[in-house]
Amino acid sequence: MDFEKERVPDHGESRGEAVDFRHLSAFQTVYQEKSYSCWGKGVVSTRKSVMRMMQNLERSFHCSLFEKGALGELVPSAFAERLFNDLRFLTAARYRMMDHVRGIRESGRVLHVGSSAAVFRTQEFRNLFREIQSIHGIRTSYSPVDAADAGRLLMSGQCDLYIGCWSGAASRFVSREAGRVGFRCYRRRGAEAATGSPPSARTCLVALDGKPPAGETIGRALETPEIITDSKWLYWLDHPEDCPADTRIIGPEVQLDPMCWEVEDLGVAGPVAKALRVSFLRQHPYEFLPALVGKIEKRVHL
Amino acid sequence: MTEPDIRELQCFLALVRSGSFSAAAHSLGVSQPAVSAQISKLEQVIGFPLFYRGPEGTSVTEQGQALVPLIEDIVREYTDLLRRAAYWRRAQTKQVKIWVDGSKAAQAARMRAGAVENHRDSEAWYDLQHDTGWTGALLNLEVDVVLAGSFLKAADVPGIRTRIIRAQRGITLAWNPTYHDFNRQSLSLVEAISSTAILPVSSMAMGFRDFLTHWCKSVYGQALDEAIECKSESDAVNACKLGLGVMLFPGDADERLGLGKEGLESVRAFEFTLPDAFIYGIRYRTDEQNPQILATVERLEKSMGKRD
Repeated sequence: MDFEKERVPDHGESRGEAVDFRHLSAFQTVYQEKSYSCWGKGVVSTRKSVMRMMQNLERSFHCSLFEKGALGELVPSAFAERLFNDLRFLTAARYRMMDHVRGIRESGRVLHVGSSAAVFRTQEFRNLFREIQSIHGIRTSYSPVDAADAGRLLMSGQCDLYIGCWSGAASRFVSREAGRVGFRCYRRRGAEAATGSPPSARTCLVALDGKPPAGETIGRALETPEIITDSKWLYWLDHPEDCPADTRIIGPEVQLDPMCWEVEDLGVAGPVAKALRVSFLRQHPYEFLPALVGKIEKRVHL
Repeated sequence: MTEPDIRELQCFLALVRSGSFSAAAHSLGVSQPAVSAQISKLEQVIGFPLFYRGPEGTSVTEQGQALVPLIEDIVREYTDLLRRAAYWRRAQTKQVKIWVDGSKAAQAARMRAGAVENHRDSEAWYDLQHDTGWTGALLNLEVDVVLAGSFLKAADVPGIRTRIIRAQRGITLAWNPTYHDFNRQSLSLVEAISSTAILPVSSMAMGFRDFLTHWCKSVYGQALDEAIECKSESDAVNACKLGLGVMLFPGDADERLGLGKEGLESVRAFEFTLPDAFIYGIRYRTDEQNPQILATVERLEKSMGKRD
């Protein structure tokens, strides 16, 4: 675009200090209604503030806009007549933009949901994602985001909603509990294990998003488990042949091949679970996010 | 749904163009937090993110990109509105806004007008900024009358009329014989541009620099890299007298500036290949109906005297 065309007049002429859209809209209404009092359609404004806005415009343009007629009605000056006429183009351009914005909002804004690949595999995440997908007026997309990058991507705008065990600083992010991922004990069946891998008596605990659930409880019940990362857990899920036979893994509830894995009793009193949180940037432009997250949170507490 | 205001939209465009909050703040003459706040407010009002923010810079989102032409339209219409309003105000107060280039003729006209009380009140004279495209400014009512030169067809723009004060042939090459030992009979343009060229800024002779650059490149295969651009004819004569380079000015610069009296030597070039190449005149809108502006044009034409 040509910058030259956008140069605002200088040399002591109107630089538009008070000529904002609010003032111009007020002017258009006063012009049409021929009264300072009739203003108020759409925007709540007192007669006094409307008069002040007209005075601001007159100061900015160095021209009188209205005078009182014989019957007390407002009579536009020649300058006001021209201004009103010229405003048509600007008003049309403003309407075009607002129509476009309204179209985007009505056809559904895209909500970029992020989570770690390990969280993505959990049943709880899928339930949650389906629920968000079913909300009218929102189009949902997913991209894998490591918990370590969650804050950065939420800040940059690449991700609108993060679902996982991560929760950022309260001043910057809003984070609410969205559900609980149950943990189960999976034992790698022996017969199908890789021939080269000797039977193992290892007990591993998946640190979902880097945070293992209630480690002490599990530790007492099943001796001290070996903490494994999300990536190792996912690798073994996809390549069970590489997991030593009889390895027990305390991991999040996921769908897995029953030919390779056997679910065992954890042997602890209560359920072992880890809280899943939904987080978003406190200043995110999507005004529906607090309500959406509130709805999810309410579902958890039901 | 509330509507964003012009300041936020201007910030949006500045950020789209610059790609960084600090550069946008610099171009708008505000602080970086102010731009950041305006963009946040705009995103809240619009209801979706307009930018991806990262340590390596800012990039516009797909939805933000779709808004760029629409916001450009609004900002352009807004700017035009202010210009038109300023024009109507001038019409009401019977004031004419005049831009003048750095030529001696224009500066003399300005001095003469300043000496007459009537003209002092009704005419507002300003120096033409050398980076200003005065044709656009005339067409969009930013200015009413422009006194400036042009070369060949550079200023032949629909909607702009020129009252020609001077129409001169070719170009003039001038130098200070104390510093440059050129032979008047055999001096060629290629020899002249081998030293630094002293040229008028584009506002004084629109299209002249482009012509020279193109000519030197296509005919001599040389780039016109070493050049001093002068805002006024007086500056150019002084630079030439100081031996800073060879003056290349459009038309008959000797006749206009009295180069001989200044101790400079000069020759003419392209006299026959470029007749009436340099036009100096009073420029105004073709469809201008404001009697005050038309009267000013008449007065200036008379006072500056039409000379071919």
